[in-house]
Amino acid sequence: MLRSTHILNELNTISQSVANIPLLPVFTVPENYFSEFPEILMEKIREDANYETQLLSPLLGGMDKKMPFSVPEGYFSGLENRLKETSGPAELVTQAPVVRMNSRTQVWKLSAAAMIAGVIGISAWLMFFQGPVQQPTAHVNVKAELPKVSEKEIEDFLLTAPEMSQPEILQLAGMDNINVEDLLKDVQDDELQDFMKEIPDMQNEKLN
Amino acid sequence: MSVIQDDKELLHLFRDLKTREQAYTSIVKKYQEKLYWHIRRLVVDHDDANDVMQNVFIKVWKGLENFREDAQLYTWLYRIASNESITFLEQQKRRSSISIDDVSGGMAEKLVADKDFDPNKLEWKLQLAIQQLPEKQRIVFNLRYYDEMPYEEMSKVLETSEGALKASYHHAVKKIEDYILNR
Repeated sequence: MLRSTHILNELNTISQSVANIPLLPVFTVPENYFSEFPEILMEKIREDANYETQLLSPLLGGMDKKMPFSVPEGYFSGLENRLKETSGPAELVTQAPVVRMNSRTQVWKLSAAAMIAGVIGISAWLMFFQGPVQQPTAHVNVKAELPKVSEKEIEDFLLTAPEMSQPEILQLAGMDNINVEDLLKDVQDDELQDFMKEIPDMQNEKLN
Repeated sequence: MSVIQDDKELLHLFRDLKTREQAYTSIVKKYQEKLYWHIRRLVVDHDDANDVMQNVFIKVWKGLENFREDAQLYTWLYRIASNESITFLEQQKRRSSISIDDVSGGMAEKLVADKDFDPNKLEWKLQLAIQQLPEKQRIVFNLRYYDEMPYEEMSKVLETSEGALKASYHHAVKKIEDYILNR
């Protein structure tokens, strides 16, 4: 190793003893260190998370990641005391609770969830694909419904069902126990006379 | 492929994503030995020097995009290397919880532990003397004595006036002389 003249001259003016020390290397370097270093370094850089950002956007990758937001003065130094004041000193939790995710518990939870999902699924299928559940036939209140039916409709019905006797019809209508006299007590005599003229074949004794 | 040596051209190629890695590798190859020895003289141990080297060049990779071309690349590289070496030495001090005065003793122990160490050879005695110097003086001495860096450039690297650097170098040489003659 050779030393430049101006460096040697400067040394000589300060200390001849130091200037006379031979410039010899003392440290050694592992073999191939300098030939391998660039590639090792490049691999390390590629592993860095910022490498991708730099390639995508050199501007963004080279930017300082310092947050632009400001924090009120003394916020962090006073945070612990404020938390103590809020929750009380006895309740202050210094460590977050550790929730163990036991594998057996998970299996049971998953089984229960599957069963609930099954019940809901089957119910939905029965409701939407099996049609509406057959409701029992509603009991018709003939007494209430009969006044709504016109005389013409009653006549038509009687013509289409000639085999049924009058008591049978009354039984079917649930009116067999009704006292006809009570029903007709508010009907005027002349109205009854007119009615009798219209249906002369009806049995008079039954109506009276 | 021809080896690109011009710093301006390398910087230009680095700014192009297609040639970025090639330019960066060229910069590493061009400066790695100079920076390695600068770091090695400060931290002594090879493994430590290797760690610092990697940190230096990773910082170079991250910062080269914003590097201003009005400064010389090698000045900038030396500044990073010096700062990283000082940071490393300070971390070592904190880890071993030894006082600042004992650091030079710790570095001397590292020298003695080197497989090639020979106390009878003047070049090894010089290394022991250098380790006795305060940190900043040690950097100034190394940059001038080994790297033969002009004070003007050293002033940019260490952000210290040329006059202060000359004085620092003078004091360093005198201390080394004293160590070699009296120990």
